[in-house]
Amino acid sequence: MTTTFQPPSLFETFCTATFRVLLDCMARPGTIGQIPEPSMFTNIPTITIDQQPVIANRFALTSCLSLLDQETRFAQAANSSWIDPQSDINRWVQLRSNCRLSDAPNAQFVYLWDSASSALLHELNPGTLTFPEQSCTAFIAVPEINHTEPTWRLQGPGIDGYCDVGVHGVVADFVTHINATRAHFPLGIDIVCIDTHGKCLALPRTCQISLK
Amino acid sequence: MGYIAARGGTTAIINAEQLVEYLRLQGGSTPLELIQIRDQLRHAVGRAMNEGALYAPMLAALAVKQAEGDSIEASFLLRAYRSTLSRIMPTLPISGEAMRCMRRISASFKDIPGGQMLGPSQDYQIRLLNNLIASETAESVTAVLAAYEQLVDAGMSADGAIGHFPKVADYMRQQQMIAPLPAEPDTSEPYDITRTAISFPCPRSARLQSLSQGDTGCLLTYAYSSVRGYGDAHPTLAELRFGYLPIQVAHPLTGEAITIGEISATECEIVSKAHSVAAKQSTPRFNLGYGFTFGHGEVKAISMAILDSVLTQAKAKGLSGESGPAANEEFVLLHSDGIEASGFTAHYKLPHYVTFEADLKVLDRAREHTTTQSQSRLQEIATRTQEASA
Amino acid sequence: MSTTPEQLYNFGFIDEDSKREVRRQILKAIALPGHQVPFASRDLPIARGWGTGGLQITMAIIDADDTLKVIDQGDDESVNAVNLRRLLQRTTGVTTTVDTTAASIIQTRHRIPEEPMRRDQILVLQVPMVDPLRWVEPNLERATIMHGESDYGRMWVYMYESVVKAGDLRIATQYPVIVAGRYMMDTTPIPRWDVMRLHNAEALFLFGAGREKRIYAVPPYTTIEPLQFEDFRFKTEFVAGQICARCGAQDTFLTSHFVVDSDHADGGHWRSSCSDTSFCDKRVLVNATTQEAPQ
Repeated sequence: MTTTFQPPSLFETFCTATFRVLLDCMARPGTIGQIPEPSMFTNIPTITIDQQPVIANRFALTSCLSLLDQETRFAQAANSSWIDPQSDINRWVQLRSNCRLSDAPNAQFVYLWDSASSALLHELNPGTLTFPEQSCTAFIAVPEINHTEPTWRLQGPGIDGYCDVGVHGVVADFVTHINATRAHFPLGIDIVCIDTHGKCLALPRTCQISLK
Repeated sequence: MGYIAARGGTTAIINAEQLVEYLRLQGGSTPLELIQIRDQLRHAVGRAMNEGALYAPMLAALAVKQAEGDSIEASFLLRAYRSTLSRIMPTLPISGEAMRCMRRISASFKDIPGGQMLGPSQDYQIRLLNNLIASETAESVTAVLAAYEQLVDAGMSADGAIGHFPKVADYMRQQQMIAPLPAEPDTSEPYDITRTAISFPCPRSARLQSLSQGDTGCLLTYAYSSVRGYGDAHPTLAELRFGYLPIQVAHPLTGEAITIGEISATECEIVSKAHSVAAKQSTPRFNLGYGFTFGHGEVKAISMAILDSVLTQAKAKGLSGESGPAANEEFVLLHSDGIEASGFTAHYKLPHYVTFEADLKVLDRAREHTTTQSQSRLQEIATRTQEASA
Repeated sequence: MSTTPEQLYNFGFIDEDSKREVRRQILKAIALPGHQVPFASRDLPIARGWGTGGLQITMAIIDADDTLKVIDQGDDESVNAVNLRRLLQRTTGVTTTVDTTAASIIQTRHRIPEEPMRRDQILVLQVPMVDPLRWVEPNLERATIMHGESDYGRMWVYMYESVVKAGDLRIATQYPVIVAGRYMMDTTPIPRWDVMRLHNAEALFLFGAGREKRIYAVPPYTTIEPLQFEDFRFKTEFVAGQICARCGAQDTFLTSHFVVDSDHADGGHWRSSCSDTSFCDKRVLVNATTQEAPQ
């Protein structure tokens, strides 16, 4: 059969592969997926926290970016505070995705540079009873995710009974902040945690977390 | 495997495509050229463009040819093609005032600023079949063209200004017959139903976009129902214009307005007597409805303007009496897209063996139930008769 | 000889931003099992009502490495299945299969395959009517509020009336279910036979309605409860003693068809066989090798 399509670009290939990982992880909370290497993205600007340059988790930032376009509003935060829309890092995301930069309550996607910023989750839009899908999705960079040293027990749709998973190097009240976003289903924030190696754990609002 | 029904689908659909091509060409007549379709079937081309929601006359001519003149099929082809194009940027807002008119009329006043201009119109033609165009020749065509060009030369205005007219609606605003324009124009980007699914209640921009790509026949039916009796629409045509509209975009770097071309379009404004019941308005005023189509589509533009007016009044609770189906925004917008409606109606041609088999099982059970019920009723009657006679 | 230049389309036909929109809504649909998520729904070169919702989902998720199966009425060779497969194959170049177990994505209309699906498989269902509440509340604005408030009372009344009138829940296909204890969902015109295949399954189910512009999902391991009463339980179409005339299966969904037979007075006779043709073919093959084929 004749095929009549243009081969996808590197970026398009990355977006599709990343989406399939997100899809699998979102459908099966507790599954740890591997985000592909975002090799087409170089020179991600650093940000400064306490006069120290901080490097983004390239897997977490670019997998969030893979879902953005001109129809989406985006914001990001580090060290528990929102980053200025005019900053280099926000301009960098905008230039590559065409997204609109936004304040927290109107953002449809946010990238949180660290688990400490989970304290800001309550500022995000949880949707409404009639349109719960208009809620925000948060990508959060965490140091390490594994199955070998479980710290959390997950339950909810997508999980056969329960599933244990280890999320390491996060602030003590991380789980409290996340569970607070899903106290009023169907309202809620859907969360994707990605570690420094690109290991991905999705926590849709249906997923309840208890500490092991 | 011979007894499994409807197998061999691949061969069947390829053969079906070939047969369609054969039917179109079997008469042996000269194949139509796209330019002939564009020029001589301009209403078919215009309708394909406005219902297909893509301004592209030559592509529309191709669609009309490929669809063998079926208007919904032609607009469907254009719509599907549109999905393959990326949306680069929105155009700048344009006013109908910028139109280079070939035609502009008003039914509200005998004389209007700028004057009435009948332009190309079939409205006052006696609708008799014209045998002359059945046998057109190169000579007769040349004669018609030459005769019209003489008229043009004679009627040319001294200052060379052509086709620009003030808007009747602006005059009406000055006279406070209709609501004034907002002091600050709304600069927010209009709703785009190709990017965000329409949900209800919807903004007016979503309504207008939806209506302007609606099926002509459908808009006509709804608008007609509202003026004939199932509604409270009492429209008067403020202005109808047809001509060429310049299209501008903002330069991506400088922001400067740049004209990128012009489109042929029809614009219509109607006023409707909403003053009697629109309680919230401080001064009683008429309500304005807006209609717009690519190409020359007067009936559609008028129908759209009537529906826009009816829906605006319905939202403001300004209608009295029975408002009728045309005042139900969700009902009108969700059923007026010809491509969606025809697609779904045609889908009943698809195999439904599985659902039908399931329906049969439910029918069997219902029959069983009815039989059991009537048997138990008979039994009941028999028992009662026995009791009575005892 | 003149050659017509073939137009080159984007991989998966729809443009990247349209794919992104579908992807965003799919993720929301999974996070809200059974809830109808609106999406813009682009026009495709396939008519509305002919599978454009399922197609857009497939186009948005498909990768060059996927193996695709497309069925209609359970049949890979049904005309519409052939046509949709042709479009997807032309615009993606992916490998296609008729074997359910070999596919990574299966797009389907009206059936869920008989063979249980695995966790590495996605079933994409084409949906004509999205909202079970449409029977009792055709107005979208009001129905959306009813879903938001879990206001399903009128639907239960509808079900009750059907029991009184017909002696059974009078819904053959599109059987309404409650997903994960919250949202009422239309199961699309799959027969009742397939409804419980959605319950606590291993695979992910994605539902796309192109004309109605809605996406919804049933994630794996999610509860599905068909609407039923204590004294009127949900029943499938299964009839004791049913058998496929081809492969002899006694536990599949069957459809009837006319078989031409010159010996017969009416020029033929009616027979029932599996609607899942790929599964039936596999069994016929096994039967042939083990010499147990029924006549």
